[in-house]
Amino acid sequence: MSGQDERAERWRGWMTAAQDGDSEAYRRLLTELLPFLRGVTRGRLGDDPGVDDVVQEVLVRIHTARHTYRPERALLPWVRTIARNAAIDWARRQARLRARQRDVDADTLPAEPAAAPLGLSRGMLRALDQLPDGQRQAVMLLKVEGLSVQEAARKAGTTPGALKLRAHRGYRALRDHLKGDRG
Amino acid sequence: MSDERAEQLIDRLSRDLVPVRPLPQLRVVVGLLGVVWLAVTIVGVRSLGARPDLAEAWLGSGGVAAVFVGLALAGAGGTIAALAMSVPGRETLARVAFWIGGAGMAIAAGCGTLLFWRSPLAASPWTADLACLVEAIGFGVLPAIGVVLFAGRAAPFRPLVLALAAAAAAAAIGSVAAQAACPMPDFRHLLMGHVLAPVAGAFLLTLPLVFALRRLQERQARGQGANRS
Repeated sequence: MSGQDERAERWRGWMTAAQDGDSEAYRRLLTELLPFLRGVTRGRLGDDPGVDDVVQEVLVRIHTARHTYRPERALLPWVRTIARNAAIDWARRQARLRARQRDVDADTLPAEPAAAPLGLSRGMLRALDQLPDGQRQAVMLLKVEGLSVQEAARKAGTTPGALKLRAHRGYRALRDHLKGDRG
Repeated sequence: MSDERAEQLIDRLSRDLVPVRPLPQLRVVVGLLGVVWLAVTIVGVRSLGARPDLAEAWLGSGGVAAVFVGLALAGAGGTIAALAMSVPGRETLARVAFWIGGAGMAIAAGCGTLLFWRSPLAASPWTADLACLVEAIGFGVLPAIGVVLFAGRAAPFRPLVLALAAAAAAAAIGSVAAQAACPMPDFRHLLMGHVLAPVAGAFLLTLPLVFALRRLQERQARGQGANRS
């Protein structure tokens, strides 16, 4: 039996034990699977900074779908499919988010004459004040300080994905506030 | 940093792990659905009254037999594809079954159109077409529900595609059963009342099946979530 076959057999045994409720076998399996999952995800997404987020999502998906594994079948194709599907979903979500962000950037952040510190109008400052802290911070870091998503996420102590989401919600709330001010 | 986060997540996931029962084998599910379909067909055809010249109608013309073989392939292929689509790692089976179902549909549509082209005389009213479409969908509903119940417990990747395949397949296989009780002799009816059944099934059943599938998935996720927290 080759090393790869042995490893596949070991993983299959751990997965079967995990289905029976053996947490130690499950922990070992997930820990050993991590490099494989990273490899599959990188194969789909390249050097995208979201790879680690997707790997975490894959772990959760493996957990919620663990009953769909049949012990008589090979484990790796099952795991690979889950990882690939998670990567595809993530890439689609990101594409949608980017498109929405472009729309919001184009529609909602009008160039108004500077009338206050930071070059923001009073209306904009008022609207920013009404945002929840996380959203305000995300908008300020990205749009006022001009940081990249990576830098902003690091500064805010969160992931790039979460920061983008906060910023997106912030843009939407700003648009609503500004529309309300004008209407 | 990322390793740390992943390890924390692994700890959390494995800490309160509960035993799970693996899904039944696909071949068992396919067999069960076949039995369900057969039972529905026998009961349905008995209550509607079987066509007296059934053997002659099906076997007397190669074209008519090809239409029903095509519909049966479309039904079986679509059903197996839908089931396989809901289990990770069974993509090859899903793809093969999908192609078989598609080929069956092409055979049924091609032969039905050819028969109608050669003999376009229409003897049946459109209400008969409608009745057969409704019967086809009725005969297929239970197997379609079976597919969705299985998929809702599994891990479907594209619920809409899965529901579309299950709906079209259910009506295709239901149409084979409906023909056993259909007295209409003309080829226009064969085309409009039977070959079109998968299209009508897809149109009418897909959205309810997607809705049911989403609800089942949510319930399944809630169950798993309770395990995670």
